[in-house]
Amino acid sequence: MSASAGVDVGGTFTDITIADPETGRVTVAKVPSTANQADGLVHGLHEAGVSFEELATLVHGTTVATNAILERRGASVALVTTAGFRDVLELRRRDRPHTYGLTSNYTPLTPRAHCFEITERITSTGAVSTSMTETDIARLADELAAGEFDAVAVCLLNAYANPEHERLLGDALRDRLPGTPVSLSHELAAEAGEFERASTVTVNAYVQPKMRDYLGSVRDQLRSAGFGHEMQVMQSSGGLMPVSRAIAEPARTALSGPAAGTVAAAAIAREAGFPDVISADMGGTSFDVALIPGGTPAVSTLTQLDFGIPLKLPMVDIHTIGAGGGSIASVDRGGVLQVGPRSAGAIPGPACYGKGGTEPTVTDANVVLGRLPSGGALGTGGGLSLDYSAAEHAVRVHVADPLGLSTEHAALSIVAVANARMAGAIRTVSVDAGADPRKFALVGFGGAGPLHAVELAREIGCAQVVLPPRPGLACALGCLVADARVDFTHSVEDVVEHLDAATVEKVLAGHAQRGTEQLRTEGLSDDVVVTHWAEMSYQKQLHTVSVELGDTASGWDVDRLTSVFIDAYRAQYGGMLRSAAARLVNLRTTVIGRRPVPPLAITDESERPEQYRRVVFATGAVDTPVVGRSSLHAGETVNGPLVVEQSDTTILVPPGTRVLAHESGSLVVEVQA
Amino acid sequence: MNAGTEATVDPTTLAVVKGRLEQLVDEMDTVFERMAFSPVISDALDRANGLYRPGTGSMIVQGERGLPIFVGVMQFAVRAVADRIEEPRAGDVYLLNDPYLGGTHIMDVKMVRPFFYNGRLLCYLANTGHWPDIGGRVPGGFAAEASDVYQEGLRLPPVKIVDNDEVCGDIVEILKFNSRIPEDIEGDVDAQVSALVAGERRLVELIDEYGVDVIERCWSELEARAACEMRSYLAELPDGDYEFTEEMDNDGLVDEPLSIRVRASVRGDELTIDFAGSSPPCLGPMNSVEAATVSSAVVAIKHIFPDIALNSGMFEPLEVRTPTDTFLNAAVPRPVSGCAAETSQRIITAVMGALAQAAPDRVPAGSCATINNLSMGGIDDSGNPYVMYVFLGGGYGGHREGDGLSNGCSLMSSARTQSIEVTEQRYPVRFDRYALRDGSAGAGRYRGGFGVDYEFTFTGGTARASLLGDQSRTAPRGIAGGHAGSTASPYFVLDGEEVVLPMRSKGENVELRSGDRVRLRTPGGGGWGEPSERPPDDVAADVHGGYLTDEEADRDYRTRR
Repeated sequence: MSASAGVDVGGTFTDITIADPETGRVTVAKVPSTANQADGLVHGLHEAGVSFEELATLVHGTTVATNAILERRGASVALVTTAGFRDVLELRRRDRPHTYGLTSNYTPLTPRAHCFEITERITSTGAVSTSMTETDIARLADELAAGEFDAVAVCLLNAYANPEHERLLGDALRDRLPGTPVSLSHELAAEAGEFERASTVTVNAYVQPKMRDYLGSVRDQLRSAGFGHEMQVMQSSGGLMPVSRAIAEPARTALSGPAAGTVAAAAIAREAGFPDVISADMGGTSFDVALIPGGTPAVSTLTQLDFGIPLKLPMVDIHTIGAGGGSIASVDRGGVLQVGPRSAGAIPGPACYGKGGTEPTVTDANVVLGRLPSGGALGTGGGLSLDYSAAEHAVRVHVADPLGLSTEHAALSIVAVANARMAGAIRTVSVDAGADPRKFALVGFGGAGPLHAVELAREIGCAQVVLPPRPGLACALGCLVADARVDFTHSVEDVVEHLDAATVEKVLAGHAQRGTEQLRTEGLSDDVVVTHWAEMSYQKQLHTVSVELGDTASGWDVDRLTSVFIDAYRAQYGGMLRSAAARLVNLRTTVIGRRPVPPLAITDESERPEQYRRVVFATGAVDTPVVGRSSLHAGETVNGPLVVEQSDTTILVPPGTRVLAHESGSLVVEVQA
Repeated sequence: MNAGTEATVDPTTLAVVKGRLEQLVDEMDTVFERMAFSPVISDALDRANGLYRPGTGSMIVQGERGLPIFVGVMQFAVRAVADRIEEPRAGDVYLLNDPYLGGTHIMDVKMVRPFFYNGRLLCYLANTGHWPDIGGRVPGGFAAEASDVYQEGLRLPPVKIVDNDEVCGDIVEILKFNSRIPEDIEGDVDAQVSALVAGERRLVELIDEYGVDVIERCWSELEARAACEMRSYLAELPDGDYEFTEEMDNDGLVDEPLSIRVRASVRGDELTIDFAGSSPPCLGPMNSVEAATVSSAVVAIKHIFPDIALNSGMFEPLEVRTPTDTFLNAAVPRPVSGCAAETSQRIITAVMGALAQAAPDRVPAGSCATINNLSMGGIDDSGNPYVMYVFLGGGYGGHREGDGLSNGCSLMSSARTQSIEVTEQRYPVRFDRYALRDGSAGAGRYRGGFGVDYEFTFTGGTARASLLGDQSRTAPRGIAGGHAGSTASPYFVLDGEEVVLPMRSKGENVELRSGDRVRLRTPGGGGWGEPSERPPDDVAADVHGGYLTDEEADRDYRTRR
């Protein structure tokens, strides 16, 4: 009766996980994605044997919004700004994509001719200095109607300080342009910074028609299949929202899939006894890393989706670099080995795929080293066979010969340099948060993550590595375990001395109340957790520190706010400042509706007889046992070297390390055995 | 390859250490910008961090996100400190801003920290940040009518600012007493020192991990590799002498153009850049110092070959000649505030103009190369002192791969603009427009990017504004038949009257009253290739997209849609 399903739809595969708490079983399915992703999704659920009538919850992770932005295949959007500022997107923050080189360009999501102006003005203190006239509004509405836009975005100057004009204009436009969605900047991000706010509201409008059609189609198909509840959608913040909110604010799904992966990493590691972890998701082209202190993925309030496309919404702070199985290794003009960010992608792919790729990739290096099985099948999709001689040839010609190394030595170098770049990404994420990565366990997932995770952990000094039961299905699993979430931001922009506890309390308590009510109407308010945050800085600074205020809205007077700020600031930066005024930039609140966590132990049933394979490690080649995942039984400990193969990944346990099959279904590797 | 180096490092270690060093200096950049009080540093990112060798001061590594102009400059600054201090000690930091010793204008304040490992001086950690005010005759230091360096601000030789990990309070007090915004000084000093300390901590970790021998061998090896890289690119250029002359508006005091003459001589895999024949040292603040001139020439080359590693090896096959009878290598007490943002950018476009003849496919058409530096200071209507500091971008030139970027940042910088909304929060101004400047992009097969049109009204309190810009006389050039972009066009509206400054792009201490306006219009980039060769679809897309009027399309492209 109370089964729940998580569905992650990517460009290539649709991953499905179904948890039945009564039987304690989680079943999984992986089916090819379809051109209309809604069809593949529903088909996959059928394939997985879902009884739609008995399904209580369905959570969806989606890349529809992300791809529309990155591939510039979104809607025709009209942007409306204050007169004099319609070029806000074109101008960005006056930058260039790369520090060196002047030959790159920028295309905004909507062209200049689709940007409109209205005469009005609000000052930085929120006072109205020029009112809008009915005539201007009517004329604008006529122009927008004539342009037949798919969606409208509105961003007026200083709307963060006073949203009155945006509201007025929004009401008028919704009234006069029935059927055309209108997004208002202050509703998404009521914070100072006109470019970032304009970009955020434009992104929302840009992906909205597509998301509305897509999610509507999924909802209809699910309904006719017999699903009687509202579908939930994964937000970039790592929390869920109902499909109705996803249709109104689709910009919140820009990192839906990767965020789900971090939620899964957090839940799986917690089950295995590790609350503080770093998630390391390595796929074909990219490596995504996120810091998860205390079991909750760290969230950032500003993310760059692409050059000149910032999004000012709470999103899991995922740092992405171009390092994956498909990353290409080359030797530069100075004779230094480089790995990535160029990728062979899926086509032509690594040389060993035999699909026309000739340049050596990280996957090719792993084949040369015996870490991936040559002649064997990789992953579930399509059962690709890996060609050793193609891998060997590519590594030899492009790396070994130019550097004067043996092919195996060159392959080791490729893996080491790739690992070093990934370790660098992990350090960046930790350092940014003022955290020491050595105090965290590493969760390795994605198709290629488990192959590199242990060596990566060794490089950064993590003591343990957690390898989930199904590393290739982490995002779908994250959908299954995520909580519902509502975020609020209130812009204060004032020195702390000008504030009092009652003002702060009014804002925070208001957030908590609105969030709880919203979750109640969405039916997700059984177990509500409220967390308040203050974004603060010294008065003259621009960058803020997020100070956690816990769940209490009251008692935040000047002294207490100042003292928690100084503590947080010192912890992050150190520094020697003795006296300077503190500034409260924003008050934020996160309201979480907790959901029961279904069992996570998904076993991989594939039996495999134990074999031996020559695997090359940095310390030398070893005849290494290769086993199937299911042959490691709960509680069992095995010393490396060991290769564990399963349908969605290959796990490498190097010599000198030890792996424990944890009863939660994860493998836990002790890096210094 | 690399036959010159004694002991080799294995390729894996070399690649890994290279990445670790880059990350270390990136972290220093991040700490500095996050902690800084001045928006010029925290938002505009006008700062750089790196590691430098003892003795020569040559660059081991510098942050990729650091301001390009400091690529060469920091070597001079570190060497100046190394030469002058008697006994470098761990835990100390030296500060200097003298343009003639340390490299740019007075506002760029450098800090240098000796780094010891096992009791031996291994390298210097150093950084620089643009402080918004350190005295001088105008708020912000860009005194367009200064006739010597003493009028540009407090000039400091290397002085100890941190002694055995204690900040020297008396020195900080001197700095604060000489600034119009003392509170910023305290925050910026803390940020700048903290960045050095953060870098030091990482460097200790790195050396602990690999050993001092390996790290030092990596440094030598990486320098040798960068030199190789540079040589391999230079070898692809045809041998020859390529000449180009840029003209600057004036020096701020005398309305006569200043010429930057470049002769770039390619011989095999080596390049000599000679500025002989450029204008003599000038009366006003457009003089450049040797460090800034050399650095600008190197930045031009790195813009053309962006993949070359950032260490001193890239200088090895280069010779830059900066004769002392030119304004590009001025001596004390010539004023120099215009060097870092104006003259340096025109040196870059001059060198690119010369090398465009050798490599037309690699070099874009001329770009906006002025930042229209507007500094304004006074007391706001709540009685607080302020220094508002604005600089602008413009259009880049079209290039072989596409149209030029609109509103690109300064060529010698990577500094972003502060948002209009934050600027209005902090200073007594209200903006009237911030837009692409219509008609500013040079036509071409690949057209230039657009300049900007920026206008604000002063809303109350007191204000004295100074402008230090250029390029109001000579527009960014077109290449291969492309048209030039537009020139800069700044003016004030005082008491309802439009006022163009006598030197057009430069002037100081213009007193504003509530309701007065400032309007700055910046150059668009030049076009690349004949406009008639631009595909009609691209012209039509520009017209439909609102970038080109019908009239402009007819006039420049002779295309009817």
